[in-house]
Amino acid sequence: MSAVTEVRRTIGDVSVARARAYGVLFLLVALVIVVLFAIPTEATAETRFGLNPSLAGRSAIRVPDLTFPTQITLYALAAITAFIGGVQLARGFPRANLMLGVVTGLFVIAFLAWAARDASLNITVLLSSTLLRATPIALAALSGVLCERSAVINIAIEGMMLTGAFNAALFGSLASNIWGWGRFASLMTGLLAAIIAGALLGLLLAVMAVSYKVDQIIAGTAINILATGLTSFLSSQVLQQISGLNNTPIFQTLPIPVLSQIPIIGPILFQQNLLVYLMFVLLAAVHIMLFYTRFGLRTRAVGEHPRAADTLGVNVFRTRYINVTLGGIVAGLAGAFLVLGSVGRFDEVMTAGRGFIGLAAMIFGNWMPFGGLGAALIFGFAESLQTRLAILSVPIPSQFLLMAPYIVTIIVLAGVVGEAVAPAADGQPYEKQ
Amino acid sequence: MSDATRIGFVHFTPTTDHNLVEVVHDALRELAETSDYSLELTDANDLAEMNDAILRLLQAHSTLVVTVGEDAGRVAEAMAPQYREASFITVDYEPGKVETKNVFGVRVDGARAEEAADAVKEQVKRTIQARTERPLQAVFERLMAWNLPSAVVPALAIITALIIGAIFIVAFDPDIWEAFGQGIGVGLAASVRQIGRAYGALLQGAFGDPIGAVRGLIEYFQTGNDATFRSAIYPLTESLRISTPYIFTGLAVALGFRAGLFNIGGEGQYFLGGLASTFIGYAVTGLPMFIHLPLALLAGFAGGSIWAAIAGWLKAQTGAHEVITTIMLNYIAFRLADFLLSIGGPMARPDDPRPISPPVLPSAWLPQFFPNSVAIRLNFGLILALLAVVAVWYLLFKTSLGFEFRTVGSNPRAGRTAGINVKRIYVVVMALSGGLAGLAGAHDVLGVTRYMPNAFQSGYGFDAIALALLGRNHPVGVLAAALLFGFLRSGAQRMQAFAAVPIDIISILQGLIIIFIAAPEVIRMIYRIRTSTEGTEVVTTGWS
Repeated sequence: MSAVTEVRRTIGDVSVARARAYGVLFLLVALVIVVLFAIPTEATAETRFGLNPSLAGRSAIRVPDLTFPTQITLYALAAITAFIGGVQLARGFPRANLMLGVVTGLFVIAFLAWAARDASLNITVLLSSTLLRATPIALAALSGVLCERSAVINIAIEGMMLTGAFNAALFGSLASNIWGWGRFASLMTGLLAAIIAGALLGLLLAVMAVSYKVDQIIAGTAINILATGLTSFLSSQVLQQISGLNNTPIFQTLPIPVLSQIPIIGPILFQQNLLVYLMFVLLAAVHIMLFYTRFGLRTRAVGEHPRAADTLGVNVFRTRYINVTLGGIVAGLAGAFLVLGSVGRFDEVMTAGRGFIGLAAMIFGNWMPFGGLGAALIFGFAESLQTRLAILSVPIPSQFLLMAPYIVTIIVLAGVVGEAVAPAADGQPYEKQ
Repeated sequence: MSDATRIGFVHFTPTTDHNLVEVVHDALRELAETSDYSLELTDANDLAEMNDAILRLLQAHSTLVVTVGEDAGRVAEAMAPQYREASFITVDYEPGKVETKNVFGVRVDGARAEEAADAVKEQVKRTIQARTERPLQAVFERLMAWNLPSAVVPALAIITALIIGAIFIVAFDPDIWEAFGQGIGVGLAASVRQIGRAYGALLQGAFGDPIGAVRGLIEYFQTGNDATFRSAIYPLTESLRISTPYIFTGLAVALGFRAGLFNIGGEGQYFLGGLASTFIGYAVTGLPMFIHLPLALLAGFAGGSIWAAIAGWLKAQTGAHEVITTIMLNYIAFRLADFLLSIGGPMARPDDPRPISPPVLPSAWLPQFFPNSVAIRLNFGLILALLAVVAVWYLLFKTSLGFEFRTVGSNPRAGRTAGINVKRIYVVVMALSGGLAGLAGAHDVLGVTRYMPNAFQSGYGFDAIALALLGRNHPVGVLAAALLFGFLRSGAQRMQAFAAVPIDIISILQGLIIIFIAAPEVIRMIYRIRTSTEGTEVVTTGWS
């Protein structure tokens, strides 16, 4: 990890070459909006964006739906994008990366307006389900942040989530169907079991990576394979053999009084289940912990320069143990969400790579708790958009739409986060002298 | 590169005893004049330069590096495990921190200068003699260079994993619980029976029936009927067939690791390779086999290669981390395969209710070892995989490109100062790595299924990481690990059928084996094996 300082010319917050590339990219986006979306659209077409929750049992103060002529809107969006591109090319914005975000947003709006031409798309429901789908990914990213800020790479998030999900299903069902406990008590039992399972795997990772100094990627891969095997084995030997062991109650939507009635925002943010709120609380807690407490300062010191931290009296091993175990707890919670927050049952390999997506979200979000949420929302958005676009008449195979967030991640990673830096000591075991 | 042995000489200017440097230098010069050695000189002003200095010598094909002084010796010793094709003689430094076979210390404390010079000359001669006179042993040593701590630890790791696996088999079997209900003795007897049945099936499923094979062979020679022989070796051939894609993907990941790149996208490259092979296999018609088959294989290699090279190129140009880009490329590959193969898709089989590709033409099939048997699916892909092991070994340890890979892997900054185009290396390594993973897909399509199914997640991508790590990133080690995984998985299929043990037990065993091999201290603790001083080899580093 060398500190090579390069002197280079910059425009705003990016290099000259990249600033130009952004400008060209923005103009291309404008062109795409015109050619692919605006021109093929009939002049009389209208788009309707629904702004009221449509699901049963959810309500907020009603607002009129947004209806607008499709083609003119598309031309307007293209014009704004082209203007931004022109300015970027001519003299450059001071915050070009922010402009990249703005242009991406404009493109998405244009796409939605085009997709919902002559039809109606409920934006509130779309965004609400985006948040729901982003929650486990954001939690997975948070788990990564906790570990990597203390310089332990946690590639085992996937395995921890899987184990958390399994335990949530098993113990939630056990409490509810065998012991006959109440719904809330059963949910808490499942949650607790997932947390304990995550903590134990976190501890296992810490023992291997911190004490035995096993290569961290090896340790994580081993945990992933082990967790896949254990949960699949036990699932077919236990969950599928004994009836009632794979059927938990789930967290119902819990509207927050008053706030949930705010139009648009209320149904999106404040009509979710308890675990979504818990995710926000955890993100804030970890953010405060990392940047405003003594323990957080120590964690970051251990992640950046363990030797110096050690000299100043910080216990490097203990700090890493605590962080990795906390990371395991959060990953277990992310797994519990997949069961208790949605389907109420465990299926083999049900995490389907969300742990790795979480890892990507963590890097994407620059090792910041809320940065990870931002990245997770992109994945969540694409997932929930895909299910809805099937209803609308979009002449794009759904597979390409599902590819989109991954392509976007690569582009953004190459464009923006390529310049992000991991904690300096990330991945290196510490040898006390 | 001439045949003459090149000796590199390096010392650490600020602190070394200058008299000693002179003496050793003169001794080496004298040697060089009287025999056909050539001498390369260099020195370093600080410790950071020391690494670069030794690299320069190795790059100039010095097969023997002589260092003077403690600091120089320590640096040489640290580098020795990475460059086993060279030998290191450390004058005035006693190696022993790291377990290495190619570092030799020459002690000089208190000795007179002439004695030291003689000792150095003697050691140089002995080392060169050892290198040139015993080529067979040198080859053997290099083959073993993946440096198992000892054969004991892996063996105990496998045994321990099997014991823990047995506990799982028994603990979650309802019949065993019932037996324990009738009494502890009954329960224990039932447990032993079940474990015996399960692992017996595992062994038989992995290796087949050797006695039956011999009997079948005799029968074949007597009657010309090889049916008995075929059924006796069927499990063995299945094990080898399952091992084949493991060999390819394990090599892919190991090659990346050697250059410091973490190719986690073997899964996607496997799919792209399979898709490309399939397309050439059914769309190109009228070719004879000796053109069609290589073409289809090449397509498989190219498919995986291009897919992985995207990640390499992005890393080189923008610094985007390959772990994330290859994971993203995995998901893109799944969607792409889904699009191509879904009913009505561009590569879907017409008029078929299943989402699969049209059948590959026989001219692109990988030939079978037993063409008259439908059941035995072992094919020449295995030979290709073994050739790939040799090719990767040759590339890594016998070519200057391989040297550059390893240098970039151990220290990209030093590689850059040594004049290596690191960006080019990233792209080339990823392309080769992805090509190998693509060949795994080509094998499965051209040798086994003969069409491309639209199945998500073969699991090769992650198993391959385990394989590379188990094999310590050495081609021969990877081969051994791939055979282990292949035989386990093949045996587990029989175990599932005959002992009702879910096949997932294999993943548990695999995970445990990796943990025990990666953390040998655990095994040493359980079995009270004395600890040997051994370097912790870090194969991967952080994100940047």
